[in-house]
Amino acid sequence: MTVDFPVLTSLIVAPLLGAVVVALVPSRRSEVHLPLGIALSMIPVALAGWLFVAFEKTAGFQFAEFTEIYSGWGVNWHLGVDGISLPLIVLTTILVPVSLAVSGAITDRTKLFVAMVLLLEAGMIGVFLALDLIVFFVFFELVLVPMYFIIGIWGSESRIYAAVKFFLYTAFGSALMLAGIIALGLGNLRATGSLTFDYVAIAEVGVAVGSQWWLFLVFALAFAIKVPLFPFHTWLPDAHVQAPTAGSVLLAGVLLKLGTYGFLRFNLPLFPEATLDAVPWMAALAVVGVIYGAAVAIVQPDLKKLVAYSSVSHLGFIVLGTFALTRQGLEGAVIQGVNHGLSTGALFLLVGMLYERRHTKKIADFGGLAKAAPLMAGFFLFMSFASIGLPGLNGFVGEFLILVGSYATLPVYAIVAATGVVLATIYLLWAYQRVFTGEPTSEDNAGMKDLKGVEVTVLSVLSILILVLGLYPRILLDKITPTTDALLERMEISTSYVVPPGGSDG
Amino acid sequence: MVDTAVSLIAILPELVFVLGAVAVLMVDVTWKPALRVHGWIAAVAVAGASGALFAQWRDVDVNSIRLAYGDMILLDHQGVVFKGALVVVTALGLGFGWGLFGRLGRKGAEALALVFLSAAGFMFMVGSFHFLMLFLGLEVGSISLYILAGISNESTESDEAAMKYFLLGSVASAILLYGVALFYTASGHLGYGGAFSFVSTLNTQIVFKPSIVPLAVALVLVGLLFKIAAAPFHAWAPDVYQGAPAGITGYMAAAAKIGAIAALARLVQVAFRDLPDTWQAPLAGVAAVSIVLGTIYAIVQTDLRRILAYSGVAHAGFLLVGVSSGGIGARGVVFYILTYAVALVAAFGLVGQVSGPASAGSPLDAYRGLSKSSPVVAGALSVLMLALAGMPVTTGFVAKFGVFTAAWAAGQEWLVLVALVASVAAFAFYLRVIVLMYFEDGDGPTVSLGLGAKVSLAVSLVVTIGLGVYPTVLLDLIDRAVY
Repeated sequence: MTVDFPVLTSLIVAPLLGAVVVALVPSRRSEVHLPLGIALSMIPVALAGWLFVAFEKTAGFQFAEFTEIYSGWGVNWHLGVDGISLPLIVLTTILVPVSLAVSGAITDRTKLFVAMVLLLEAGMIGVFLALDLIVFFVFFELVLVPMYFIIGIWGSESRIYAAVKFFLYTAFGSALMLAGIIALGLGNLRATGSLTFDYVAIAEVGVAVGSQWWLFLVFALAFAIKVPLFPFHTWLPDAHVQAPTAGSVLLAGVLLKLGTYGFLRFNLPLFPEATLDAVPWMAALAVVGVIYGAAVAIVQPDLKKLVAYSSVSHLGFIVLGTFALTRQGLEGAVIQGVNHGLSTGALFLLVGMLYERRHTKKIADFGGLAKAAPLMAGFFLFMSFASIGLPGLNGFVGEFLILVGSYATLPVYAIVAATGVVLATIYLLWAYQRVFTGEPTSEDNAGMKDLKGVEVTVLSVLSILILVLGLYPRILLDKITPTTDALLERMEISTSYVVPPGGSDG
Repeated sequence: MVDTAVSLIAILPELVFVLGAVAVLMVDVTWKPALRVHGWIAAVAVAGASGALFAQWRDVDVNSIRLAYGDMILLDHQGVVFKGALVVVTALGLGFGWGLFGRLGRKGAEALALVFLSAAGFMFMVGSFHFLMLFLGLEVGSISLYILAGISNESTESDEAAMKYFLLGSVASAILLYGVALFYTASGHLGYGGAFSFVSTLNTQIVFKPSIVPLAVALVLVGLLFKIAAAPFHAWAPDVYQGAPAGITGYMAAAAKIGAIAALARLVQVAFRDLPDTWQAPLAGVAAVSIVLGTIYAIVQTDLRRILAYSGVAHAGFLLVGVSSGGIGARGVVFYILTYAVALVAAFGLVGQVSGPASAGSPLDAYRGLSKSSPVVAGALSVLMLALAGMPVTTGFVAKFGVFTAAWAAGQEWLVLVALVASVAAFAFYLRVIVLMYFEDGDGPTVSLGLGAKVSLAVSLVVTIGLGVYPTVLLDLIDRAVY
C-alpha cells in the first residue's frame, strides 16, 4: 500500500526537526526547553496514532516508501511497517514524551538533553522502519550516540564508565554485524548479479544455506548484546543504574527491543536453517537469562538495579517465545515487547521519582512509604502486578502466550522458565513490602511528598494502556498475528520445519 | 610535435598555485603590505585553481584523457578529483591557520607561499605519469612541508619536528628514487605507459635479472607508504604533528596523504597493475599492521595531536584496505581520502584554535569541560571525532563502508574483520575526547574563532555531515572519475 503522504519518513524527520527547533532556542531560556520538547514529541505520537489506526490487518509491509540513494552500492531509502514493527513504533513515540515529562530534575544543559532525546527517538524509529540493511545499520548505530551522551552527562556517579561500556559493548556487536551485512549484499550480487542491500530483495532470493550459520551468529551476537541475553548482559545494570530516569525508561522500554526486534526481523526470516539448528542454544540462553536475572534481582539491595535485572529476566521470556517458533510464541514475543516497555518503563519512572525525593536508591533506606505517599505506593503495586503478569493486566497476556507457545515445542524450557514468573512475584512484591509497607522507618520516609500532578498524569496514561492491553489484547494482537503467521509460513516453506498445531487463537 | 594548448591545460591548477606563491612573495618584498592583502591573493589563487580544475574536467569531457609533456603528465577525471581535494584542503587549511600567519610576522608571506608551493607539488604528483615526475612532485611538496613544520620560532619542538621530518622524509624519498632506478635498470622505462607494457609482458620476454622488478616495486611503495604514514613507516608522524605549528598541521597531514594516495592508486591502476603479486598482499599486510598499531598506540596517548597522528596511521591502513583491493577499491579510496582529508584538516584546525596556532603539543587536559566554556567548538570537535571514528550519518561511515565492501568483494575478508574490530577499539580514544569535553567538570579555555576558521569549520561540518547523510552527490562524481 502506498500513500502520497510519506508518513514513515515524517515519523523519522519530525523528531529530528524537533531537535533542531529546540537547539535554536537560546541556552539561557532553560525553562522553555522541556515543555517545548514535550510539545514537539507529540507530533510523532499523532503520526504513530494515525499509522496504528490506518494499519490494515494483513501481512507484508504497509506504507512502504522507496527512493534510491546510491545505485552503485544498491542502497535505498526503503521504509515499511508491519505487524512486528508497528507496536514498537507506537510504544517508542509514547515513551518519549513520558520520559521528557519526568525530567524536570535535569537543570544542566537542558537544551542539549531535549535535543538528544529527540535525536534518540529519530534513531529508534528509524531502526524499526528501515527495510534496507545499510539504512537499518545506520540507525542502529546512530542510537548509541545520544544514549551515550544521556548517560554520560546526566547520569550519576560512575556515569562515564557506564556510558563508555555501553557504547563499546554494543558497537562491538554491531561491527561484526556490518561484516554480515556486507556479505549478504555481495552474496546477493553473486546469486542474482545485482548488488543490493534491500531487505525485501535479499529475503526473496534467500541466503545460501552454507553461509547461514556464520551470518546467523554475527547478527545474533549484535542483537544478543542489545537484548541483552545472558551472558552478554553485563553492560545493562551499569547503564541502567547510572542513567538518568529518562535514559533508563528509553533504554528499557525501547533500546532493548532493538535486539528482540532484530531477531524477529532478520535472524528468523533470513537464516531459517541456522535458526532451526540454533533453537536449543538460544532457548537455553533465554531460560538461563530468565532465571539468572530473577535470582539476581531478588538479592539486589539497590531498587534500580533490581528493576534492571528484572529486565534481563523479562527479555529472556521474549527470546524464548521468539525461538519457540510457534504461533503463540511469536505473538507473545511481540506483544510482550510492548508490555515490558510499559510496565518496566513505569517502574523505572517510579524509582526515579523516589530518588528525586530521597536521593537514594537503596531499598534499606526506605520503609513504610505508603503512609506518606499512598498514590505512589498504589502505582508501584499496580506496575509490579503488571510486570509479574497478573491476569487482567498486560503482562499476563504476553507471558501466557509465550509459555503456551513454547510448551508446544520446548516443553522443558517452558516449565523452567515458568518458575521465572514465581521469582518475579518474590522480588517485586518483596521490594514493595520493604519499601512501602509497615511504619515509616525514618523521618524522611514519613515526610516524603506524594506524586505531583505531572507524575500522576504520566503514570495514569501508562496504567490505562496496561489495562487496555490486559483486558482487550486483540486491539494489538489482530495487527500482529498476520505478520507472525507469515513469518512461520516462510519457515515452513524454506525449511523442513512444521509448526505444531496449536490453539485457534491467542 | 608540441601542442601548447594541451600542455597549458594539463598543468593549469598547478600553474595558478605557483603563480600565487610567486605573487605573494613579490608583493611582500615590494610593498610589505598587511596580511589582509595576502589574504586576497590567496583567495584569488584558490578561486583561480578551482576554475582551472573546472576547465580541466570539461576538457577531459570534450577531448577525453590526454597526456602532455612527453607523456609525463596525465590529464584525466581522477586526477582532477584528487587535485580538487588538494585545493579544498589548502583553502580550509589557510582558513584555520590564518591566525598563525599573523603571528609569524614578516614570515607569514613565506609560509603562505610555501603552502601554495607544496600544494602545487602534490598536484604534480597527482598528475604524474612518469616516475621522475612523481619524484619531482613529491619533493617539491615534501620540502615545502619540512620548512613549514619548523617555520615558527615560538618553540623548540617545532624545530625538532622539522628536523625529524626532513631527515626521515629524505630517506624515504631516497628509497623511492632507488626503487625507480632499479625499475629503470630492469625495464628501461620511466613512463607509466612503458612500465605497464613492460610489466604486462614480463612473462614472455627475457629480462636482465627479473628478480629486480619486485624489489623495485617494493622500494617505490615503501617511499609512498612513508608519506602516508602507514605502519611500520609511521615513526615520524606523531612527533611531527605534535611539534609543528598547530595552525598548519592539518594541512600538512592531509595534503601529503592525498598526494601519496593518488600516486599509489595510479601505480596499482596502471604501472604495476599486472603484477598484483608484488603489491596486493604486501599492501594488505601493511594495512592490517597500520590499523592495529595505529589504534593501539592512539589509545595510550595523552596529547590530542598525537592521538590524531596515530589515528592517521590507522586511517592510512583503512585507505590501503581499499588500495590493496585493486580496481574495485578505487571508488571507496577516492571517497575516503576526500572526506577524511576534510575531517582531518578541521580536527587539527580546531586543535590549533584551542591550543593556540603556534603551540607545540595539545595535552588532553586542556579539553576538560570545553563544552561549557566553548559549546560550539566542543560540539564541532565531537562531530569530527565521531566522523573519524566512522559513525553513521557522517562521511566516516560511508568511507569505511566503501573500502570494506570493496575488500570483501576482492576476497580479503580477513582484512575487513581486522579493520572492523579495530574500529570499535578506536572508539575508546575518540570517545575519550568527548568524555573530557562533555562528561567531566573543568573550566576549559574560551575559544573565539576568527572569520577564516569560522568559514572553514562551517564548510567542513557541512561536508562531513551532508555527505554522510547523502553521499550520492560525491559518489556520482567519483564514478565518472575512476575506471
